[in-house]
Amino acid sequence: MIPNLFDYQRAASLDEALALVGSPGTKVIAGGMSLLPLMKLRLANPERLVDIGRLAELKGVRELPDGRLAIGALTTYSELAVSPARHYGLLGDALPDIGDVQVRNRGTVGGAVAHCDPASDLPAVLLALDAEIVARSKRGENVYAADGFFTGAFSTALAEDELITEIRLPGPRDDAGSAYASLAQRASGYSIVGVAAIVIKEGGSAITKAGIALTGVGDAPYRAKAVEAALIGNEGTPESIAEAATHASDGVTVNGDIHADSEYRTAMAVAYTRRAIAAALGRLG
Amino acid sequence: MAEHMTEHIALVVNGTPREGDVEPRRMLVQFLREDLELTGTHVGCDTSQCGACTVTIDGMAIKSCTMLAVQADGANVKTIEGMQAADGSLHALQEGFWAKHGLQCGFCTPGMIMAASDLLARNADPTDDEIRHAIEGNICRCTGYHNIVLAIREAASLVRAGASAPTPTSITA
Amino acid sequence: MATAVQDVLGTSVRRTEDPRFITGKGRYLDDIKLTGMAHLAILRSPYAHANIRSIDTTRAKTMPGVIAVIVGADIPYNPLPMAWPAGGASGLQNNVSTPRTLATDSVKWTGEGVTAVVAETPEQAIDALEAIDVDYEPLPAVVDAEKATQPGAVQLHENAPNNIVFDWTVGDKDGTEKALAEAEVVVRERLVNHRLIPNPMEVRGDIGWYNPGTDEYTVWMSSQTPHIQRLLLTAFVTGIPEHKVRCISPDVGGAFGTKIFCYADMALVMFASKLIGGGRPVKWVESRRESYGSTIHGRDHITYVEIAGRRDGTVTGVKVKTFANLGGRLSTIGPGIPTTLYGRVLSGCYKIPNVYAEVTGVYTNTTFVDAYRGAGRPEATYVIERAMDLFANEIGMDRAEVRRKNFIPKDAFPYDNPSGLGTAVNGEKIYVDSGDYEPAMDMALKTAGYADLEAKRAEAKTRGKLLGMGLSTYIEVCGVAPSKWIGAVGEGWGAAMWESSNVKVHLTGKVIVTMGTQPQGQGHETTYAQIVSHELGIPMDDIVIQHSDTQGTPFGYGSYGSRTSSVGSTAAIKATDKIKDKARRYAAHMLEASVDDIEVDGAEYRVKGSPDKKKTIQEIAFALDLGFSLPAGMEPYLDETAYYDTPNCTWPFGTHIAIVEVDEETGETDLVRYVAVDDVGKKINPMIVDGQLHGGIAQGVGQALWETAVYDDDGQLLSGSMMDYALPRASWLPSFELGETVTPSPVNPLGVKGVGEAGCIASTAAVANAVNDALSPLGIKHLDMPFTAQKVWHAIQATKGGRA
Ligand SMILES: Cc1cc2nc3c(=O)[nH]c(=O)nc-3n(C[C@H](O)[C@H](O)[C@H](O)COP(=O)(O)OP(=O)(O)OC[C@H]3O[C@@H](n4cnc5c(N)ncnc54)[C@H](O)[C@@H]3O)c2cc1C
Ligand code: FES
Ligand code: FES
Repeated sequence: MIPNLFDYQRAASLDEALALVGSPGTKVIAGGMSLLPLMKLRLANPERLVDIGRLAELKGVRELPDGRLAIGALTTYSELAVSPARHYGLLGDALPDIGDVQVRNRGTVGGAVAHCDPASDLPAVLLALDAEIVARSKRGENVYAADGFFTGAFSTALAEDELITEIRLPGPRDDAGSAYASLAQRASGYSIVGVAAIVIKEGGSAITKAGIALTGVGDAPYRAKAVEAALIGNEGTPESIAEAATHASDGVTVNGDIHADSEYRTAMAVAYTRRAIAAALGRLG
Repeated sequence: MAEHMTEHIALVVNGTPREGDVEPRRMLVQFLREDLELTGTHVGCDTSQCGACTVTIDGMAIKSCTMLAVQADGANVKTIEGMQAADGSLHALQEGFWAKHGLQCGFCTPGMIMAASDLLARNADPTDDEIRHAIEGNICRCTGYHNIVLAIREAASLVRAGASAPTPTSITA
Repeated sequence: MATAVQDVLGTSVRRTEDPRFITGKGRYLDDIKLTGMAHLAILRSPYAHANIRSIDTTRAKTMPGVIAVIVGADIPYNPLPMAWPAGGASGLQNNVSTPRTLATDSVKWTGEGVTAVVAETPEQAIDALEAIDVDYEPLPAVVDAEKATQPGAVQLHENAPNNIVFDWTVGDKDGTEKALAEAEVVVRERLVNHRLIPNPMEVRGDIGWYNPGTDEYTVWMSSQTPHIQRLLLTAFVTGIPEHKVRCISPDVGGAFGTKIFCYADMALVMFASKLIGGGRPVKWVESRRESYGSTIHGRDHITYVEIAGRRDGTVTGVKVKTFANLGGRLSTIGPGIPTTLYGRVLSGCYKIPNVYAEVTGVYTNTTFVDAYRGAGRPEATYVIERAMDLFANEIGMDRAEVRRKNFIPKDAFPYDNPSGLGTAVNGEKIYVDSGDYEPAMDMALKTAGYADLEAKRAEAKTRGKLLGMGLSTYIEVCGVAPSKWIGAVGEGWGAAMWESSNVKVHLTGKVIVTMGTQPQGQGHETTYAQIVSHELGIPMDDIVIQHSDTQGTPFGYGSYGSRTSSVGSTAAIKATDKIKDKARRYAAHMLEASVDDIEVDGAEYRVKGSPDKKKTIQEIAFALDLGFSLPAGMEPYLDETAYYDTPNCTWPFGTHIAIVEVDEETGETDLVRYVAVDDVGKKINPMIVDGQLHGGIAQGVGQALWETAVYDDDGQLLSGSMMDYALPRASWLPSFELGETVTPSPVNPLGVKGVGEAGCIASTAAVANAVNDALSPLGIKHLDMPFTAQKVWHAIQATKGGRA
């Protein structure tokens, strides 16, 4: 209920924050929606918190000249939901069901990405979209591809001294359809299985590109490459989608807990992958 | 154990500037309840699940058990104690909850009302489904939510009618 | 003056208590802040079963702000009392082990209190817990009640061989065996009624204050029963004289049974306050996670049911064998729940000639189990209502028709159960007071569209959904209970169960009513005022209802068992009867008439035939309270107390119908409609009655679909927080469709029956029957609750002959 004692410092600028990040015992806090629950249970016990919550330069959603969307790391889910990002079908699906309104009013995009909860929804969305994660440190800027960034439960490719500053989504395109479908763990609201799907048909009736990513299933959110491969060249018939979806957890050690043993979770990964792909195709018209 | 500093914070609570020196680990809910003695905001869990602690910051509902008091430095906080008008008349949500029997033990009620105020600010005419979705972060163990939905719907219609909901002078009125 | 006062009895007036709650001015336990108050935190066992070798508190004592560190050996108190031995005076052995204020040499579940710290702030108390070193000798654990009774199982207590608390029986053994042997059809099933964590939104807590000046204690507690707690804490636990202790229950943020009991922490804060001296109060408030081990759990039965009957649908016998898990040590009335409140209602609303039940109460390494909303009756309803469905399905008869055929007919009341379910060991009986079951069922069937079930099923199937409809034609025993039935020589509760009320009409005509009952959200301040207003003709606004403080209220047994409206209200009416009688006698004196000539009409006391000669109750109170002119032998003041012992229990009933849809591919199960037709007799305030039903229905649905306490084999609670224990949320539930029939109870003058638990008693079985109905086309005969997506999915897979 009550965290251990710690010191607190609010960063007045990004540079000040970067000067503090990475020193031993120091943790960054943004919205606190992941960190504070852990600290209250004394599962996380930082010596010092650096509050980046006020850094205006990390807030807001901008359209880049090339059509890409740049989302400041401190953008909350609620802000995202009323930004141009909501036009991405899969984000429109995912956002209203992440936590509850109170969590969405505080929880940030950067925090969700950095925390990398194995059941977190946003990382799956970013994976499917081939997003970029922009990080800064005293050493300079670093751009990570989402694919490869989420390395395990609560672990990412981010270096100790780096802060996430921005997430970049590829520009919207008319030949893409996307959707997010998830099965919630009733008590926590987190996903037992969450599937982000984007399918692209460049001309023709066949799928030419696909991004399928799952959360909740394994150690970390992942791209289901075998599903994507099976979809390429595919016309998107119910049978072919169903077949592609059977590869949803190929090569993944599937989690099991009291809410979903690994057998059930595996089956749900398949079912929800099929549903997400079908919904994405449905939006493509 | 190393010495740890306290922090000075200043914020506006229910329209009144308030200050205090707090341990950084002090949650906003404890600052409100224990330091400011605004005990209308409740604590119902320790895992950020129940919403009994909901207050608004600039009109947005947040869980005050999952926000450090130092994070609220400079913020504009509203709690259930700030919902009545200066003349004591009830807010439409308070009126709605009373009229529709939207509470039993009353423990979840302040948080419910604050969460609902966030909804009504965004959506003046919510459907039942929208209401149910908007209070997903708030658990009520007494009412089965049935009358809470009616209460929020009633409040929305009071707000739309423009009437600052009157306080009945007698409960039998 | 006497303008006619609006009669509010039976109307949906707004609640008197709400203004404070909707403005944030309620005063719950943790809102109380007293001068000099210190804070207590409890270190709890991480093991489900262990011996305590030693406790080292040296480091903790040096931590900042620490005032005292307390271990069990420091405390001279007795173990907590167990007040409801199953079987009472029947000689049945109850192998009792109850918690101590803090554990001394062993722990029996994760969460049993071991050491306490008192510090200046709650933070410091919690910090210091981490500096206590307890050396445990871990022991193997057992968590399943049936397994715990088997040879070779881990033993918890020396005085309880095979972990058995008691073996209790009720009913007609020989008759039932014979009925089973001769029956055309016998259906047998094993039913699990899984464990729940009640979760009122306000957790428990207490503040103890020892006043060295007066040598008296005050204990604030979030409790349903402050009078009982004072009795138990003084006479049984601490040895402090009863008149030296005052118990106060402030606003209670929900309870659902959990706050009936005597808990170790209550004694602990009393001890701690005296220990630290200086007249400092000591506060303890559990955290939610802590409460999962420090406050009781509910249900947890494993039952073997056999139902016998004829192919024409007549049920001829029901035999039940139940293992009731009571936890690591016994809670205050733990043994009473699976016996009196369960076994005695196992025949439901049916005229079943032969019923017999055996219940084994069992110790396991789990949190103690006691009364949770419905307490025994939801378990019984689940057994009989599932059994009726299983029987109907077996003989291929419609589920509603089988019920109709076996209902106790409406001319059979008061109904004396032929197998003796209503007969206590001292021969005293309770009867099913009244009922008319068919109209309620017909109304529910019609509202739910039961006749179109197959069409609905077919439509859902086109959407990949399995639709099911489930009935629960429940009855509930409320208004517990006649003292001579439940009392010492009757069923086993070591006390009586009457209620009390004091009514005073003050000089100014304002009324103060004090009650022995204790609300937790039910709106007593409103409903009692409605009754008193109706009886005395005084406006509700001039009446206040006080409760919950042993100082200033008459002794009462508190609120639980849906007893307040029938037993408590009748006490209030008896008190107002006395007030009216005295007022009438005094009006005769004032009006110089004979008492027989005074007629009472609301607030007016008139001389028959001379309508101008009258006095209002306010005028009478003014004069009588002053007492300047009194008739011979009359005392001044309108102040009357009544104690009321009910002659019988009351028996609400009704039919609930749940409609569910199961996603055949994922096992996800949704409640899509819920229809409830209840007969709770007359209603004091229909709005409040509906609210009680809504909340009860949601809790019962919660059990059927989502809620479940899960232990691993080592006794670790895997659903140990709200992150893993799923409480119903708004978007998972539909709005409920309520209907009513009204069969007034003949037991009390208001004709009320009680409603606090009805929704919860009926709904679990309705949903369970609905899900089983939905799954029946796949050939599934019975699936146990909770119908989590994963469990339903596995059951469906098993029917496909593949993986399970
Ligand atoms: C009740 C509840 C329900 C929830 N339900 C869901 C759900 O359904 N689905 C879901 O996906 N999530 C859910 N969440 C989690 C929520 O989405 C995340 O907690 C939130 O988005 C994290 O953002 P934050 O700003 O609050 O992070 P914080 O808690 O402030 O930080 C989290 C971690 O990220 C680090 N960090 C934060 N910002 C940065 C940065 N810019 N650069 C580098 N490191 C950083 C911090 O040091 C910390 O380690 C839920 C949370 C709660 C409390
Ligand atoms: S107290 Fe439960 S969410 Fe804040
Ligand atoms: S009214 Fe009691 S928890 Fe909602």
